[in-house]
Amino acid sequence: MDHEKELLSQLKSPQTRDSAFRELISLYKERLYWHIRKIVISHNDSDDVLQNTFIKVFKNIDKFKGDSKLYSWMYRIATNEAISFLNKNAKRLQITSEEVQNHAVNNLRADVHFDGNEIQLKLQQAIATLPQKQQLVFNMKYFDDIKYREMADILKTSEGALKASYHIAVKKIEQYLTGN
Amino acid sequence: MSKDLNNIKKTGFKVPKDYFGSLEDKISNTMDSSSSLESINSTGFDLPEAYLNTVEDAVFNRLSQQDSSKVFSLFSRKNITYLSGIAAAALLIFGLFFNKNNITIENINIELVENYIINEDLDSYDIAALLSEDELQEELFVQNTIMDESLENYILENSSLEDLLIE
Repeated sequence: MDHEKELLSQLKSPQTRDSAFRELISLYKERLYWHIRKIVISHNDSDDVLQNTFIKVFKNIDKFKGDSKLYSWMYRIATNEAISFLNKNAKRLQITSEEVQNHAVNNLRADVHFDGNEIQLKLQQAIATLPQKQQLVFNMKYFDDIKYREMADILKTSEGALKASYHIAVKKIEQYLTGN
Repeated sequence: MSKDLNNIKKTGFKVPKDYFGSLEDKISNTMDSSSSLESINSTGFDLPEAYLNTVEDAVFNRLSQQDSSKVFSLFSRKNITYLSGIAAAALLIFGLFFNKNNITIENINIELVENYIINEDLDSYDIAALLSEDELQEELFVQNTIMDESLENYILENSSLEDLLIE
């Protein structure tokens, strides 16, 4: 936390800004990358969204008031960037963002950057059938084990609602896996 | 063979050959492909080797590109307001300019029109093409009633007896 404060003050000072920003990228790039990847599915799209996220962080760092953790704030930007990327693609292709995601998941078998087995592929297909909010909650809890308290801060929702979403998501996914 | 219970030492059941030898593998295989959520602990997503080492440079490159060539959206609301203002001003200036000259059919120099027709090499067909059909309707001629008196005067003044005889 102290390190975060120090990094923030360095980011807001013109002399230390660039080096602090480089450090910020190094600290969070991996976590944010995997978070984005689970939403947009393909590696190339994730790369684009990750870069956009950091550029947005850099340009808006002065607006960060410190109400939440820097890490939560960045996660929130990454989530918004990934979802607006899906929406933009959907608009361009004149389909829904769910269809964009389904399309990406169906392409996974041929993706060179996917080495999962049949059951992992099936799990991705199952996740893609969920509403966007449940997808986010499931991915963040199941794979990243993010605490409900932190998740509530990132997604600006109550812990209770998140817990309910997660349990519904797990049920639906189990049903999909055993049913298909 | 004695029917004494003590003499029956076997059930008679049989198992396929090597059943117990391959049982461990069989169970672990079933567990791998089981459809339970608990058996999956990773997404299966992969990423190019050393990709993560390139992120910092890629982001800084894009930031420096954006600094050197700022891209403005052409169709932002602000720009549209400016552009429509400029367009309105331009129209106003042109309007004033042309009104000052006040060009009408009446004050065009006849010589200028003649020269134009000669230089443009217009033939009678080109001119005929410019006339619309409704301008040449019969009724137009009928409406122009000619007084008998003026017709007499015209004939007297303009034709000779020979002409009339020939016709």
